[in-house]
Amino acid sequence: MKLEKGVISNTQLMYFMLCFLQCMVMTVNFNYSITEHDTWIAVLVAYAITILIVLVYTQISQRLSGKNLVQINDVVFGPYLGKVISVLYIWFFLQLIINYSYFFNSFWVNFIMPETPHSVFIILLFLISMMAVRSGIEVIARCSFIFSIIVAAMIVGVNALKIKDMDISNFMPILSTSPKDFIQSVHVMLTIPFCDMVAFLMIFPYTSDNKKLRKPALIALTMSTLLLLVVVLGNIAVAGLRLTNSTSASFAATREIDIANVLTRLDVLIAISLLITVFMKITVFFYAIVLGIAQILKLRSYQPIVAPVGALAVAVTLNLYPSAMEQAYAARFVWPFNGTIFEFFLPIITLIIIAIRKLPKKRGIYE
Amino acid sequence: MIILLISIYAIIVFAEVPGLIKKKSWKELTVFSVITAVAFTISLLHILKVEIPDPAKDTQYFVKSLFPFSYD
Amino acid sequence: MIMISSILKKVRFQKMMKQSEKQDSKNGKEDEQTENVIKGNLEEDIGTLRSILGDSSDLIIRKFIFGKHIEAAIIYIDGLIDKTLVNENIMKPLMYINNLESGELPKSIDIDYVKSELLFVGSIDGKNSINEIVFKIVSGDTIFLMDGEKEALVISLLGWKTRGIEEPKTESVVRGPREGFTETMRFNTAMLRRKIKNPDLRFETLTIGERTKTDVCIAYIKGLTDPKLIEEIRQRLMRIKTDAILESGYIEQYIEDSPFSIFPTIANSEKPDKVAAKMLEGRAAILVDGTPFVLTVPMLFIESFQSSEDYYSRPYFSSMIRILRVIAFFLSILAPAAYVALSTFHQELIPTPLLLSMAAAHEGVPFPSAVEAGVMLVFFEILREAGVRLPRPIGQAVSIVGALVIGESAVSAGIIGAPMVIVVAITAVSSFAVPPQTDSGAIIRFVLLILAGFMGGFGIAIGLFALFIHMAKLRSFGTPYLLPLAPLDKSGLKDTLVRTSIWSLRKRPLGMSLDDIRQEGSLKPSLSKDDVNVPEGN
Repeated sequence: MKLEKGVISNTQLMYFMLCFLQCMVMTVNFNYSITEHDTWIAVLVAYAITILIVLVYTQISQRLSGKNLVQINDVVFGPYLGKVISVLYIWFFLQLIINYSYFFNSFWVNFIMPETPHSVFIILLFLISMMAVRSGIEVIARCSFIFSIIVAAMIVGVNALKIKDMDISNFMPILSTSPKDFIQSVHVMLTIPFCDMVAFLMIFPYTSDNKKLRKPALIALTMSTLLLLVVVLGNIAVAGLRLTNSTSASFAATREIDIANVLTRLDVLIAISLLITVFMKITVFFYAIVLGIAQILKLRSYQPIVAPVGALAVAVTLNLYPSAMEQAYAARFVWPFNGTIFEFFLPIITLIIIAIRKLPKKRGIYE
Repeated sequence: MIILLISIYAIIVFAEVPGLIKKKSWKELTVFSVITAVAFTISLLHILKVEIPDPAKDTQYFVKSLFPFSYD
Repeated sequence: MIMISSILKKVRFQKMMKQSEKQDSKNGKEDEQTENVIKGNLEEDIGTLRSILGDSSDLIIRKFIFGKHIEAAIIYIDGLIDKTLVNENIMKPLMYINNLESGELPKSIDIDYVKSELLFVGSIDGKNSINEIVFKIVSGDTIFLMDGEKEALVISLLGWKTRGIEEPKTESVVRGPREGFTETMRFNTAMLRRKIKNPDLRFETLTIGERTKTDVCIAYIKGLTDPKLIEEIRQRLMRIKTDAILESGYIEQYIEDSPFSIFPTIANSEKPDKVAAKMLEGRAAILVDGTPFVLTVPMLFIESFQSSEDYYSRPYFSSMIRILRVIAFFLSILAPAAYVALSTFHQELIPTPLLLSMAAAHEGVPFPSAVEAGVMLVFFEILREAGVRLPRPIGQAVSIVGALVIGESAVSAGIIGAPMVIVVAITAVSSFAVPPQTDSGAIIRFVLLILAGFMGGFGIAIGLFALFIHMAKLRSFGTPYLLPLAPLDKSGLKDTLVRTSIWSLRKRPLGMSLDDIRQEGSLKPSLSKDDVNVPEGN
């Protein structure tokens, strides 16, 4: 009994991952306060490490092709320990969803519409996300092409308009941050925007060619990193050391754009790209959660539990942090450790076990 | 506020439950009711301004304490 | 998986068998009950027919005697047949036989002799079931009955008043053929045949409607259209069990994929060249007798922005027009909502001078701008409806009064702000630029307006998101609605926002036709090799 009948092509997977990863343009704000104007070097280092991690993810999925994360855990760790690990992963994804939606919510409430009740944004965001998840993987993947193009166009356009405000001297002095801060920044960057790609282990098996995952994954990673570099370099060049004081650097830098008194306040474009990218993040994790729950409990379909899980996520999000500052603290000092376990340790252990046990076992002739 | 909350959950229940009963998928119905009940309780407590520990936040801090080093 | 699908297939097959058996037995019963065959006794047969058809004043039963002693009758419905033809080709040859020299008269005149030697008619057929004969009579055929014969002749001499071929009012063009479909299906199929002179062009006719017995015809090009699509259309059409089909709109609502969506998933057109072009892309057309609107399936969203004229004019201009249409569509759904969101939630986004003049215009207006926009839009829809339905001279009067009342008096009285009038006017004009989506656009506009009134820009964004996801989910006869964009089809993108040259559109739209390649190789115009340069000064 298959829970998901849809199939997406590998090109679609690429745009899907691209749109998913584009959210890093927003979450990079957490890094400015750590590495300041050296953040762009941290981006490059994080990118290099992520390539290796992505190769681990794709290798796992290609070795056990046609199996998603829950099934992989069952095969690799055995039915009981595997279930426990799958549940932990679902809990991890739920935390990710909650954190992203809180991030999104605090942004809209703080910068765009301060008078609106907090819950409205989250409830509406989850409503459309539920709509997408219920429609299945094919529909989500179809949306991703246009979404990723829109986001990329907005970000590149906004940064092009910043050119006249840029100042190269803002990059100086290069590499002035301490090694400890630098490592922390890379760690934060790895665990928050880059390596939550681990959720795609739930989606890889529904591609049309299970054996050729590396290319789309790496292209998507590279393209989104380029976009991130554009944003980071642009922000540093415009704002320099002022970045550290702002909770949302892109937003602040964009606010300063003023072209002939007509193109002002383009920060709305940033807000819209935030909406699109966070929507994609949430939808992927949401999908991973409901599919995972349905698979562990052997339900006949995942559709009935979409609405309750959404309601749960909304309820927990509203209750999460007292302020956006605390989330910024948690993202810098607490979350990286949480992410390390699920994004690095467990996948690497999985791959090692696969290699040792020579999975998948060749099936007998009589089977 | 409470009325709004109850009506939202009522909509969720009315949208899903009749179909589940018709299809006789009791397992799905059980999972559905458990998650909905948990979500409802949390949001009700939130509206009533009762302080409850947030499991998501606590897990994060717990995992952090497992590591031998930290950044602060 | 294979097991399951084969079992499913078997079950489906058995079901179909059972259904057809049921239908057969039903028909058999009816035959037994009324004993519906021609008996051979002229008086009795005419009586039977008369009892079924009743005393309709347009039913003509003409009894006569020919060949000295043979009693016969012709039966037809007045107005549906061509009287001169009936007189010339049936009555005249039969009556004339009386005056022949007796030597030339065969000894026995039976119905086969009449059929093969006497009547001057091309389309003629023998029938003996009363039901069929009655059906033929009401469809406009002429029936020839002869005493002592257990067969009736069905003679097709149709001739009723029709509208001529005119330029369609809904889709007028500057360049391109000006003919449009008419209400008679036969003419329409003929028009398609004249466009596509190919033996593979097929027409498959079904009769739908218990009472109206409307002819519905599936047109497609064999070898190009996916047979699965044709089978799907056939299945959906056969599932229609209703008593009346009066327009293709009925069929559309019975067979569309998502009846609860606000978007149409079946396209319609009045122009033979457009329908032919769509069929050549691998689509199938559904013609319904009695209406000039022909349906084509599957429909893609992008089709709403394409017009047949795009392909007749050169690519630059038609691409520009395409982009304009898309802008117009977005304006028509977004303009009021965006105005409301900007003026109530995000004033800081408006450049200061503009904001000042807007605030001055809104001064003293008693309603919030969301209400203002809603009222104006409703009033505009009423005006439009009144203008369309009323006879033209009165319609003009209505629009003048409406325009004066809204445009002048309401603004000068300070009930409505002037910017709002401008916004609504822009919306109204642009909503007509994309005719297939005018209906859905009106609904989307109101929904977005409400969202903008409550939540400003966020509401609009969420509304557009939901709309987009909904559209990504839609399918029209198995083809994704947003096809060249989502899922992405790179070669299909050549004919979306921008239409590249005809010679570069080498492939048909994805997933519809069996044969994707429209033309081989590059057909870019170039000088032929033996082209001689004309010397200058000539």
